[in-house]
Amino acid sequence: MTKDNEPIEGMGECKTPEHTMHRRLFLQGMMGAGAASLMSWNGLFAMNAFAAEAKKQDKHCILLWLCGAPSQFETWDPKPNSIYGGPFGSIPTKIPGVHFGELMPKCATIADKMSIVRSMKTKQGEHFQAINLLQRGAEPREPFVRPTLGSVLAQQLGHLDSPIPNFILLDPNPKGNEFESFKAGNWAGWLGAQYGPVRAGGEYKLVDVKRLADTTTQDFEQREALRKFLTRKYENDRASAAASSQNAVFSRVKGLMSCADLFDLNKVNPKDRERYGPGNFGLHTLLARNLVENGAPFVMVANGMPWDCHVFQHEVYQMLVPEVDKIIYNLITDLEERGLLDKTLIVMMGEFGRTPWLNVARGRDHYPDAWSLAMAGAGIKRGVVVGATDDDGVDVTEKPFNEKNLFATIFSALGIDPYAEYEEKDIATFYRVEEHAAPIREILL
Amino acid sequence: MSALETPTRAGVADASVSLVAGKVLNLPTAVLALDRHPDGKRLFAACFDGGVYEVTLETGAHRLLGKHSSYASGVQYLPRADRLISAGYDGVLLWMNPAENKPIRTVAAHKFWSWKMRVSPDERFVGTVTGQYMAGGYKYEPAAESEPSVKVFEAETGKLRWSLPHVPPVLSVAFSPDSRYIAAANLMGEVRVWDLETGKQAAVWTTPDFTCWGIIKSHLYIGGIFDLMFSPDGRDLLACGMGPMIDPMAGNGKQTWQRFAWGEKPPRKVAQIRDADAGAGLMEILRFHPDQKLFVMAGRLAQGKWNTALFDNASGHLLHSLDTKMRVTDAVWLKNGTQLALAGMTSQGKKKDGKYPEFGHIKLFDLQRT
Amino acid sequence: MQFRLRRSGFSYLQQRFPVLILALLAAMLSPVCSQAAETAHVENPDAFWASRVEPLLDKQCLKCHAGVRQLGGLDLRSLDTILRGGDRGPAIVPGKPNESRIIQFILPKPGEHMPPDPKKQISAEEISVLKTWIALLPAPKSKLASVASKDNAWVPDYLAAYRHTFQTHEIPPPKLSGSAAIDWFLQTDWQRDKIEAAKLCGDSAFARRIYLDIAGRIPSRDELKLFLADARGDKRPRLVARLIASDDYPRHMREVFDTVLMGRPTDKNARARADRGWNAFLEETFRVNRPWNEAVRDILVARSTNGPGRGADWFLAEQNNSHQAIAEAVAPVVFGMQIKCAQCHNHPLAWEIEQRHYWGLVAVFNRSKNVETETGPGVAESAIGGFVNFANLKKESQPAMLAFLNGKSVAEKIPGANDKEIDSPDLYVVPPAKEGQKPHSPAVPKFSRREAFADSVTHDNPQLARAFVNRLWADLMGRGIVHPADQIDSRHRPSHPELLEWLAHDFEQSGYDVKRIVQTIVSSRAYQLDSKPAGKTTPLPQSFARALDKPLSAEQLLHSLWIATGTKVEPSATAEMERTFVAKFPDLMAETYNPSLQQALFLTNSPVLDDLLKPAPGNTVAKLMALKSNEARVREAFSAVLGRTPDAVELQQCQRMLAAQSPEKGVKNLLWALLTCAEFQVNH
Repeated sequence: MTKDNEPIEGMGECKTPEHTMHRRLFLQGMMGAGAASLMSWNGLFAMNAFAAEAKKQDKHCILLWLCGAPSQFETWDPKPNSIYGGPFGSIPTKIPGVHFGELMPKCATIADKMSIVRSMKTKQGEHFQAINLLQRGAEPREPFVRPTLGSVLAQQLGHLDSPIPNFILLDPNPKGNEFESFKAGNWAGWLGAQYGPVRAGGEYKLVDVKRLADTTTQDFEQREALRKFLTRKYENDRASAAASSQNAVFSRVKGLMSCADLFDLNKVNPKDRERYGPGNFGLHTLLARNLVENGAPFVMVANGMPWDCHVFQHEVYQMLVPEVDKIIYNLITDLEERGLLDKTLIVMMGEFGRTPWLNVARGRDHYPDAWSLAMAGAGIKRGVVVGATDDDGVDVTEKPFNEKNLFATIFSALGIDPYAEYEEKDIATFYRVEEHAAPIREILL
Repeated sequence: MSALETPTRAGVADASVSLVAGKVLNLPTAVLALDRHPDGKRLFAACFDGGVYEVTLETGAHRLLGKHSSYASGVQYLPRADRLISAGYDGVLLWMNPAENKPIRTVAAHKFWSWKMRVSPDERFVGTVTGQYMAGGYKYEPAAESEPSVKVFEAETGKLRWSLPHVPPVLSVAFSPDSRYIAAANLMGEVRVWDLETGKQAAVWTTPDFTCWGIIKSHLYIGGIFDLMFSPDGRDLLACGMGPMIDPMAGNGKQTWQRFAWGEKPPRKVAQIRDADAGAGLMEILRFHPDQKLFVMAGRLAQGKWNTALFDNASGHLLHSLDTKMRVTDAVWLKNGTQLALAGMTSQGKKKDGKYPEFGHIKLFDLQRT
Repeated sequence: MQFRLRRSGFSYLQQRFPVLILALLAAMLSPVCSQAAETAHVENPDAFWASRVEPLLDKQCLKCHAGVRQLGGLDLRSLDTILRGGDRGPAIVPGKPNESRIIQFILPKPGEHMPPDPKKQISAEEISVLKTWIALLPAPKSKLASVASKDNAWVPDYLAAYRHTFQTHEIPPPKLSGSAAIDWFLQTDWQRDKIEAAKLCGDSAFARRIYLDIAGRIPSRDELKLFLADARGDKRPRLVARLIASDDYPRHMREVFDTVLMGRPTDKNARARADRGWNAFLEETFRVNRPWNEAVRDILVARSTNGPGRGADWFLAEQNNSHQAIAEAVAPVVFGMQIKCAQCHNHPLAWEIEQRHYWGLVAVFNRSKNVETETGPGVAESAIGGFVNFANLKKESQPAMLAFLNGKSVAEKIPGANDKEIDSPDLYVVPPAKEGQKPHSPAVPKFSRREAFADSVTHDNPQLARAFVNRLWADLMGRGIVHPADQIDSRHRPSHPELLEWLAHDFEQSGYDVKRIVQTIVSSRAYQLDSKPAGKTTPLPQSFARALDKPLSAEQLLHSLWIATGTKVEPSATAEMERTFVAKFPDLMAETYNPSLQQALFLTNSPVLDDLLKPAPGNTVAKLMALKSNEARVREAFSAVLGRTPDAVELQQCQRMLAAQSPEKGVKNLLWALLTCAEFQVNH
């Protein structure tokens, strides 16, 4: 054990005395909640300090989270001439010389509206660790918990007092092995529970959204104010994270009740629904579009881990890829029609790629060495393909990018400083993107 | 645990057959379907690279006869006509004269894959099945077909005889021994049988035991009936695949065959593999032995002890089993049933020393009786 | 039992060598004076391994040298496996970094080199971490072994000495009571880490906490009054004893352990757990205080049709003949580990969890089958079959043997590939029925894998005790000593390893006495600390230096709501209400507390809570309305719901709210706020 009055040796980044102090304080425990205890009853009714601050430009982000890890070969980086190419061919796209997998005919027609990164190269080939890596943008450094992309964007793009939650997770599937474990974890990390996701979709229906008949608005406001006051008092007295999380969710109740219809699957336009396809991923992407149209800063759409096809890959992908092809096509064209594409960043990715070589169970296994993802919308160039892999898709031959480059790109595209230092109290020195990793400049506007 | 159900019958089955491993022929690419020439010297293989090859049993040398633009998935030799017909994931049927290296006829049968192709015993008909699994509902029920899922062509002329409706994807097809009926089964375990004289549907039923809906990782359907086979008397229809899985991405459903009296109304399940006989893994092929007393089922071993097993036709009991250390995609009896050829693949490997490892295999076994 | 503040923990601290001195001693005692003694920062190599080396190897090496792949036969997940070494022998020479094979391989120089990819090289800094660690390891006493040697015969002795020096710790002074021992362990750490522990909690806080933890509900006002009025010095232990003897205790323990052992049920299974006697089995287990190992034995053997084990078979039966699901459910109970990851390959990170353990556990249960018998449903077991092979990722197949995670195994003759096993009634105590007949009772073989397994894990199995005490600790203290509570493996280190060992040992020695260990933990000062931090800094949760927040479970919340609102519930309506609450608040001992918006909406808008806030004869709303002044109403409401008096600000603000509304509305809104605020929703 290191004695706490000695500097920590060899920690590389931990050189400054301030940081040594941070670190030491951390070892002893969090610093007290002194500042927050100034809160008073009257403060409850005052305008939220954050809301007063003029908010950054009106930007949004939709993450189509293709969890389980989709294959690059059947989507953005086909290798029809390779022995590993699989049974699906490739088709030309709107970008001359660029082909997509043949299961993506609709995206091929709007390739000039998106950017493709074909040279992702990361280091985690296990789901749980890789999901964390691609959701948080850096390796874990315990015991600190880095916030997920959604939580950072909720903080940076959202308004704490907006009726629509700042971070919406649409995922109908309560299960999903490693993703299930990830979901049970701490999304918001050191940013705090108010930046965690509001989960909806599928079995996570939002019921109890109507005020009880004999409860007036005044009842509602007054008792909630009292509840919040008591909970804040408890939080301050006891430095309670549980109380803080409870206030975070209760603070969303009123707003959510005013926009509950946006989450109601039965209230989507049937024609839209037909275009997005009947499956639940399409339906939830459609909800995401509606939510963004109504001001939601960040929506993440997931559907368990269907892309993890160690078995029956081609049998499953013949359905999944056309579905996502249709979804991406409609999402991009809808947002463009509504004038929202320039304000909305769409990221389409999983946690890694799949092996070139097929296994005997008709599947492809985990492959972080060379994989692809796609982006479109806010801050992103149209019709750019960056990076390349060799003829068999075994390795990146041009411009490898990792999760840090990706996160720097996402933040840059949305006008957020990628290298800002976190100024949360009681933590070591962390940056929004570590190691000053460069964004993928080729695709940034 | 079936031993518990039938303690007095345990060991009744003829334990005296076994398969003894013989020659192994390696191919650069996986074999998805296999047939033989009656001369006992040649095999025909449909492969991943789209190639349809003639393989010499003695030397393992192979010669390209025809080429599909995607995986070749079916190959059948017609002895009377001395013709070879193949099918592929390009949806195309090719007719070839095995003596020449070029196709005689090309028929675009489907817009999507030919999952399986069979020729009727009388050599009159070629049956091929297709269908892409597309999302048809909130739970990813398969959507209705956009082209006929089952097609029957005349083997001699290549003319379309019947277009028959089913729910895609239709994975397997079989002709009755008298060549009068054709059966086809799909992802959802639905089996349909048609009378080839009238084109009318003769039977339809669904077995739930080959399909599962994801609850762990995904919401979609996985599985299906991967091969069908009529009993030698034509009365029963056997289906194979694997049972439902808790985690649909694990590939560890029970190795399964079921047998149906398809002519009864409604069709009735009359037998199935005993629990104690089955391991886990997808079963892709069923073939009766020429003596009709036993049949082979083969596929992949996920858990358990075998991926290839011989079953007694009368009792349904497992007689002999072995692990061939590969995924078996097809099986053919040779030399009056004294030899069994199993075709398939091992996992593709990385390039080594500038070469791709050979991952297609045809393994020969001698059937021994004592 | 002693609840008063102990004057000082310092005297105990002196009895314990600081780790630093230990390391120095170890270095001096070893024949070859290790470089560790010369370096400025002498550290415990075990601690250094955990903080620096393990994360580094994770990142750089484990992809090829761990559970899934072991290139060169080398597994770099632990000191054990590193010393055991690969095909060429031990990967390191303790104390001699430059002679260690691993260093030679990673140094940037020509020749054989790791990692093989030139773009993924190990930095100089990382190399120095590895070297430092090797230097910290004392050199072996035996004459070693140059780098070229494959010899690893010295390793077991070395590891034993290593454990003795760096991983064993002092035990508390003899004659300390169990609860005092807990405090001794914790206080030692607080002193060392300069952590200021919270004060002892007050009587009201203690009463609320202990009622929730043992009776699964808050105290009624009368119960609380009675306790507060009690002037006896030992009133806390008296209350504990009374609650443990009450009917609430077995109900609450059943609710907790039902969820912990089996997970939250589907609606159908919820009914089955009641109908098939599982709930009754658990309640009876805790009511009569059956030794935990006996209860576990009943669960694993799953045969008793009468007697105390009746109903235990539902644990296996609910898994519906899925032997993998059974194995995955059994592992946390008897080994305290999650083994799901080991289905397809050895655990990628926790080196001791191997694929063969997973399949060994499957084999224990794969002769089992749910059957309907004339004497009711049960789980039969066959005398033959169940010999399965499993394949690793390399497709190498091997038979599943009865070998378990606690190092024990059961020998069994495996039939040859095509040997036919013959089933016969001779092999059974209770033979299976003939085909087509309904058996009288489930088959019981003479040699039962389930019994053999139960024998080997319910005796002399420290993991069983560890699994139980860690879960109980998590339930009572708000966090496991190992967290998450059911992952006691080499990847999840205990915050207080010695304490966990001590508790597990104590539990085992007591004959797996559940009531005793509950009493021991709740009698500790640590359990009775205030939840308010003492100083300006909040201690980390794993220090247990204050009472941790425990969000109420569905059942605790519901039962407490009934008490606070003075609601009498028809017994017939209880189950339905419980299901509603469980559906909304399913979590128990969650790794991270993530309350959902759906829960807040439920508490805000659901008629379920609203119904409790309608005036009815004798209920809290009616009583409050009957009071004359708003001040009295506020005081009474705080007392009924939170068990305390309001402070001046609270009193003033609540009065103001009441003044603006009709008494009924005002009282209802006041109660709603109190019932939904964190102070009520959390056990603290």
